[in-house]
Amino acid sequence: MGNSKNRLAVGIGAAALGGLIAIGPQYMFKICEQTMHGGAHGATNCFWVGQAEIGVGALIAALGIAYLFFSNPLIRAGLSVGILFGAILSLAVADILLKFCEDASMSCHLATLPALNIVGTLAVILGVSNTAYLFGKPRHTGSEAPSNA
Amino acid sequence: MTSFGIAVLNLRRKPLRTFCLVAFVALLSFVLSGGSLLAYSLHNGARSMSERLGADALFVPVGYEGRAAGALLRGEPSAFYFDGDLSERLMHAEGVLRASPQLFIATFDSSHCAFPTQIIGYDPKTDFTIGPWLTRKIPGGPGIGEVVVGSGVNRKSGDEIQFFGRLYRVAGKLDKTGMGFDTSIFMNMETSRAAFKDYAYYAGGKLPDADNAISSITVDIKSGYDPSKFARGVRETFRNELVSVVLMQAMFEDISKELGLSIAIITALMAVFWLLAVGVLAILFTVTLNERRREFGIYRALGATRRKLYEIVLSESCAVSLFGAVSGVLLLCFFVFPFAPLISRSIESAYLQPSFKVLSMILCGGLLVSFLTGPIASLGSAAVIGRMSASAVMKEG
Amino acid sequence: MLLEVRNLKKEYSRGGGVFPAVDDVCLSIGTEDFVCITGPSGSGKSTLLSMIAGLLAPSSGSIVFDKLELVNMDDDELSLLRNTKIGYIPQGASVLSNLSVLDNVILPFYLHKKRVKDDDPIERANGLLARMGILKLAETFPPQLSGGELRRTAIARSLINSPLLLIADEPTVDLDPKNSSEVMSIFRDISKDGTAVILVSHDIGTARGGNRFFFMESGRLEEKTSEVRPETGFLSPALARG
Repeated sequence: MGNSKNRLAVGIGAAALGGLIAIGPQYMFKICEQTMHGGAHGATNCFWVGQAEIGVGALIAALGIAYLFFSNPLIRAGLSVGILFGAILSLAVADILLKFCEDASMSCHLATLPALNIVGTLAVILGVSNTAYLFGKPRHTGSEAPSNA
Repeated sequence: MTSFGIAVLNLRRKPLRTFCLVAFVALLSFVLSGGSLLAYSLHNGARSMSERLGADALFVPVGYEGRAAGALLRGEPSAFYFDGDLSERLMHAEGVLRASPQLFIATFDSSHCAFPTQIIGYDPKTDFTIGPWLTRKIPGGPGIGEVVVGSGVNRKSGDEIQFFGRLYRVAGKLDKTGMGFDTSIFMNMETSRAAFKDYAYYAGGKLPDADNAISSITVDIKSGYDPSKFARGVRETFRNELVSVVLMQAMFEDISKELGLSIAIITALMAVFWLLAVGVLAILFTVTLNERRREFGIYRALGATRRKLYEIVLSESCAVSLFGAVSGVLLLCFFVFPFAPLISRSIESAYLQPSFKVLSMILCGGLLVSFLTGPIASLGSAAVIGRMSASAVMKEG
Repeated sequence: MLLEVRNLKKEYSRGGGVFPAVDDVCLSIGTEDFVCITGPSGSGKSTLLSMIAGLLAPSSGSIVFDKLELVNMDDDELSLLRNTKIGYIPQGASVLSNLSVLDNVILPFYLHKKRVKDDDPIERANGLLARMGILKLAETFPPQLSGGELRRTAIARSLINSPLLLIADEPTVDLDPKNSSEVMSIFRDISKDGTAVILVSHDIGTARGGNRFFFMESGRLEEKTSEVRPETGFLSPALARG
């Protein structure tokens, strides 16, 4: 894959996936309605997952946008690793670190969690394949593959 | 450099054309596998429902027939009650072979309860619908202070769960049924009466006495009694007490008819889509192979037999079909399976995804049919290419 | 004799009548022959080549190649003969654009089940490409090649199975004079190596390259030993009749 094709594909891909992770739970595959009940409950569990994913998703999107602007393969490899770890964090937030609502029939379980898993997995696949591609590129003048030093 | 190797080289050099063909077959594979899975899951759900709705009839208060169906089929939390004295008379009504009371309680969306859900209290001594399959999984059923949860409830055996400020121990978790039971909580009658007292405390309002309250009565009708006449008789006898009779067979038949129609429509759509796909692929292959007549003429000039040309053409269509069919199934697994609970909920009918073994067979079947579509569609154009006169084609260039 | 053509005819129905594309042609070729056939367009040159290569069935007559009567052979036998004993270079663009130069050259080797298990077609192909001067283009694809490079690829491909006879239909038609000359030089080398060559061209300059010269017109073939007028590019009919 040529230099500019790689930058466009990965940059736009990561930006899109990061954007989905950030705003998807708010507007598309929505978390549960936030209603105050009994005067004491506060926000639902999935609200905090949504908040955390705004941050993680924004980070992935920012790394993707930055990827568009760098032709140096070393820098791109570093950004790609960042995207990969951001994607892993997104999955960890949704599945391990934070809990969703108790009731498995609520919309956060039915829609938000599977959607985050799918988008997060796609971002991981993008990160892994692009990192492998950049580190595996043959050395030739003008676009040296990053060394492992 | 086998025929398949030549075919793959040809496909790789035309990435856009190859991608379009693969994408089309992937779509076909997705539709066939997904449609088959949907149809089978609806059928499976209907079968599960008939196994679990073991009673002939259900006595419920007038006006709550729909709520009763909603609770059974979709787990929609409901709370409606007969007076205790009435329930005793109902259980001994003319034509009743056996009867068992059930108590429905709708939990709150508040700090007193884990989450809003349906509690179903049943009497282990008289029950003949829920008990049999519940005790298959949890021998003896739930004890006092214990609950059995449906497959969709986010608890496992040994956990605790709170309702109306009281903790209950989870005695077990049921297998998936594709019905409202999947999101319900089951208690024996003694435990559910205690829960009802707590419910009444927090809910307030006019509620029957906790020791006598009953939401519905499951009934088996004596043989020789016509179900419709039985239902009319009960309604007549208990007209003033506002009792309604839901005939389970009738409810099940209505749902079966609806499901049957849905399954028939899905099957018909799949068949139409497959025929269209064969036609479209046949046209695509014919057009692309027609553009390559000179290329095949050159193969013949180099000594390729007609059979070799067939092999190359069929190898190309097989390669396209294989990648497309596998991609379609993978897309289904990756994008649809995670949303299976949402799909199940959206259908608002009994929907039960099959076991892993049956699921694999359905997916393999869809994959096989999609895979075969490409070679079938290319047979005609392969025959034309094989029959063409190489010398005439060489002149065309 | 490697090739004996006797009273060969090919007729087509046209305009309610019969049109003889090839009319009673006789031809004998040995392994040392480099035969050039020239003539105006539509004279039947390509039709004659197609029949000799087994791509087109004659209406009547006989073609005996390497002691085998082609007229009696079925399509599969003709395909095998064409693959193993005849190298055919069709007119115009004949290099397959989906395959690299190397893959194009080794393709004929794999079109039939192989005979000798120690055969290494890639080593042979590289040797042929080196002989043609285009070894460095082995992994290149045809759209990136010049006309001369494409023609050399086609020639290398025609030699991969060490044929007894090489047939080339208008091999220099779209080449500049320098490339035409180089291509003809390659054919002369091939002929010297013991492979018979039949070459068809409407260009007299090209046709002079061989050691036997034929003129074809209206389906009739005649061997010529007289001189030609190079500036016309064609034999004038008067001169052709001697």
